[in-house]
Amino acid sequence: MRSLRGFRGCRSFCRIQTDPRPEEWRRASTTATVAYVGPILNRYVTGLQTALKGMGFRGRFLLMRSDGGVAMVEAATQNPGHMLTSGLAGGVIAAEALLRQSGHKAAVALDVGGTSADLAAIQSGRTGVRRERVMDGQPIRLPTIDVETISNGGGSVAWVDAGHALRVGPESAGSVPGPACYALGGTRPTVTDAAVVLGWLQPEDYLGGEMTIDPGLAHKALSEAVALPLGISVDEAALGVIRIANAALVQAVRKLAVERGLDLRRHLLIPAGGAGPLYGAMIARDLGMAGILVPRYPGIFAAEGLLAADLCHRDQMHFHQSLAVVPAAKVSQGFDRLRSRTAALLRADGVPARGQTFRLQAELRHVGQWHDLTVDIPPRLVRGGLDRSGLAALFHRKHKTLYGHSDPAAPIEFRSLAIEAIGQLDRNAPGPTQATAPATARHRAIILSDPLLRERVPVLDRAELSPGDTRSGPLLLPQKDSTTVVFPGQHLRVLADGALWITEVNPRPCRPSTARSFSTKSHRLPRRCRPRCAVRHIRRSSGT
Amino acid sequence: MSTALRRAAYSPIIWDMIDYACGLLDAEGNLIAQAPTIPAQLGIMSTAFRHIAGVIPTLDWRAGDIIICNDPYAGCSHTPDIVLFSPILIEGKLIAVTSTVAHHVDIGGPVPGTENATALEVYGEGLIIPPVKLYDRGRPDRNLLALIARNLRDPAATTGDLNAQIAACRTGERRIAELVGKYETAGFLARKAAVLDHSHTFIRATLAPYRGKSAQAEILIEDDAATTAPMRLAVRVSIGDGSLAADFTGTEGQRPNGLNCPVASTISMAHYAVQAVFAPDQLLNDGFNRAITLTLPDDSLINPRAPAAVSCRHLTEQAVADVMLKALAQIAPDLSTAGSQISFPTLGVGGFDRRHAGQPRYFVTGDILGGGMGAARNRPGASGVDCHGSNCALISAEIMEMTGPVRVAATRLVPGSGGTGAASGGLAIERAYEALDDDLTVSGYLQQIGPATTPWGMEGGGSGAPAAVWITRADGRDEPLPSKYIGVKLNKGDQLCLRSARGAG
Repeated sequence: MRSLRGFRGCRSFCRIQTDPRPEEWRRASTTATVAYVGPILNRYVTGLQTALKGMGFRGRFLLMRSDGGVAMVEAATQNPGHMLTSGLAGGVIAAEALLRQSGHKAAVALDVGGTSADLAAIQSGRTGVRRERVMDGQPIRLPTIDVETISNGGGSVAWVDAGHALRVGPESAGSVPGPACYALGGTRPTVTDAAVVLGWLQPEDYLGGEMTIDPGLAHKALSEAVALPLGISVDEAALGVIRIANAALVQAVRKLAVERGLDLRRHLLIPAGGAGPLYGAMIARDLGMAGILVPRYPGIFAAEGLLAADLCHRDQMHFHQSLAVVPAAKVSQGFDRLRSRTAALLRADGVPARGQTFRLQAELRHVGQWHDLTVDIPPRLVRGGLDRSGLAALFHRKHKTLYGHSDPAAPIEFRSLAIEAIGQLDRNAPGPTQATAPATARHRAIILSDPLLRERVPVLDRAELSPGDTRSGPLLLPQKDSTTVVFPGQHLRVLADGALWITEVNPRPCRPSTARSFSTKSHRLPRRCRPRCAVRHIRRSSGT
Repeated sequence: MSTALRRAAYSPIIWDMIDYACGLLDAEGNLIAQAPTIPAQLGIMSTAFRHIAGVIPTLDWRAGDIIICNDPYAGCSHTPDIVLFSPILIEGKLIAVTSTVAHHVDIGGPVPGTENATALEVYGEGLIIPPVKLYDRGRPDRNLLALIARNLRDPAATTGDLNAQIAACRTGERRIAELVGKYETAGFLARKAAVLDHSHTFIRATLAPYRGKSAQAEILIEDDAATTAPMRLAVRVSIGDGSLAADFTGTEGQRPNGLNCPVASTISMAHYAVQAVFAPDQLLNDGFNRAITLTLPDDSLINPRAPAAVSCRHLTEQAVADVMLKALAQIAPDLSTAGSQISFPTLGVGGFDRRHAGQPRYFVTGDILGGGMGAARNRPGASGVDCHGSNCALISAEIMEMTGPVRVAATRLVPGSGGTGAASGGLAIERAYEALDDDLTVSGYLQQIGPATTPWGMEGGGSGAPAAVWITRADGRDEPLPSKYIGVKLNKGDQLCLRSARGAG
């Protein structure tokens, strides 16, 4: 006990409670991280709670968690690790809600901010939860919503390397000093500066006119750091910067899709964050995606997500059993235990039984394999007897989607049982938006695709559009928190909730090519080679 | 390509240890780009291309072909590394080639996993596949596939992994066809040339401040398979006008063991060393490599003559990187570190698991230890990392205990001697594996076990501490083992202790 003297008043965290699965180092790393950030987070949260009370706040104080649910203060501080990446969850929840309203099921949410871009894939209306992520080289095995982050944002700095190539990022100017055009002392050109030079961002109504930006400084920074060293015009430099930043985002979306086995042609893009709608149209076009859904307020989209989240408790138990021989009762008892534990938590949160829903999950794997797959289990498969073949079929299907092959003959084992307990919260639906004034288009000469050509493009304040309005690109739609760029050949419709629905007028044109493509699923290949129209395999392969 | 391969792969050696590479070459075999997965496979593709194109002229490459090869004497690495090429033709003209290299779990030969330090010739290292078409215009050669499958211990894994490699090649073909669709052939070729030129300009600019400098270096590594005499590697590096020449004259002749390093692997690690020092953030391609000239003496450890055995070349390959870095540390000390561990301690355990009801089950498990990196001028070396070519992680003690009757009794960073200096070398790892049952067989390799072979200090820094392997028997007796220990028996309560080397200061 002597070694613990001096730690009085500190909280201890138990490895088994924070993460009950095998692999000692990952478990220890998770627990150490929780113990490191826990007290700081908890102090902050308790302080905030006290302050709110002092201000006379009488509502329910909820905290966003990394897994996309919200929790009451008591539950959140129990395992503070669950709040670690909660910042990423808001945008995804908001995208799920927007997608639901639009009647679609599958999308990629892309939130581009000042320094980084967050991406998430939404399947059947939901984003997956992953059980482990690596932060700063340390594995953290806590459920977090499945978001990828790359360093690429409006503040990413453009520079020329020793090989005379234009590069963008990973260094960022952040918000201080920020882009050169902010006139806060930044002298290095950023992606935002490039957008100003091209005319995509309007000096006169940046942030609704609350901030003045100086296009001259953007021009000067790009000229000195990029155009002069490379011997190109400032306009060429600016378009180059935007294209490189865009290529990095395209690559990130493509990787997200390939890793999860998605077909991007069936996915919408939901660009958000201050800079997302600038690129959304370009990215979706490059990837042949089904359409673009721009939220009404892209800049505060993640915050809106906080309001759309439900209460959520997760629980899991180590359960190492063979699927073929485990007694059915053991499985149902395991789930019953998880269910009653989480139901009690929801009751304590004040959620009545009718507002509670439960999602059952199991981590399964092939016997002898090291990697587990989390499979959602419909309750009918475990209620009143265990449907072993039904469970096996779910596992094999998921294995096939993720890894491209499956082996139905190989035995399967359980690794753990898990539950997601959702408590629905009552909330007010946002009202429909109303146009503030009749739409009157201004025009502006901007560069969209050719550095030698400034096109006159209509500029329309986003607030001037009403639900049901339609427009054709090219078009610039500034608003206080963002700017949306619509390219020539794209068509726009305003949805009831004020979101923009952008599609290609003519889906990707067919380019003749003599390149052939060959199927590769297995060694059981077609007897003759099959030449295909290039376009067919471009489509087939979107996202690979 | 890389994601497609990893996703579809069958074996943990690919999806966990990431022992594979994907790349894109032009019609002349210049490497345009390679996914940054494993440094040890950086130079294989273009070397193999030149050999393969000599056997099957590129004029005979047709759309849909897949060419396979694993011959260390046709520009490939060791036999478990299977290289595939697939041509991309536009209007009948070859414009690019995709390539994948993957380490397969077993390619036959006397020992499971194929690698064998005591092999005398490459013929003892499993199946050798010369450059042949595995697919002809999209049609697989079933006879060849059947012949390959019959010669391996785990045909399902190899077939699965080969399919993953083919899927990656096809992905590359489709994506290049998309690019050509977007930019036209001429535009694609111009961009390709620009990428190569950029890398060349970059490395020329980076080398410029070191123009006229040259340095010599020598290191020793253990043999302990053919003889107990250590093996010497030597290099002289000179920086010219935007170019770098490395002359390995003085490196010893090849030996009758599996430690010889085939020429493609030597090139890989020499290029790795130059990149690590001068362009760590750059993508590697042949525009970069254009600036590098290598002189590799014939019939030597690093350019052996057939049929010398090569399956354990990874130990020597690490030494190629090490000796290059030792020379470069004199030329560019500001960009270098002192000698890192290349001790590469490995362990393989096999035996019967009788812990469960029913028939005893045969099990095999293994481990690779990282060690200490050398210190840089103002920064201590990282501890417990697998340096240079391989970059593998420790296996979880709990996973190992689940796999077989082996308990990891201790895992620790080794404090204490060696690696001293203004900045100190990274710490070594020590692990003790306890047998929980009788009659387990252990084998493995390591190097840097003596004072002559420990990591070298830089600018007055102390050399690292040596690696070691020994058995502590159940009765407390310690038994030292040689650097190549093969087929040693452990009984219940015996502990095999493995320690990597500490980095230098």
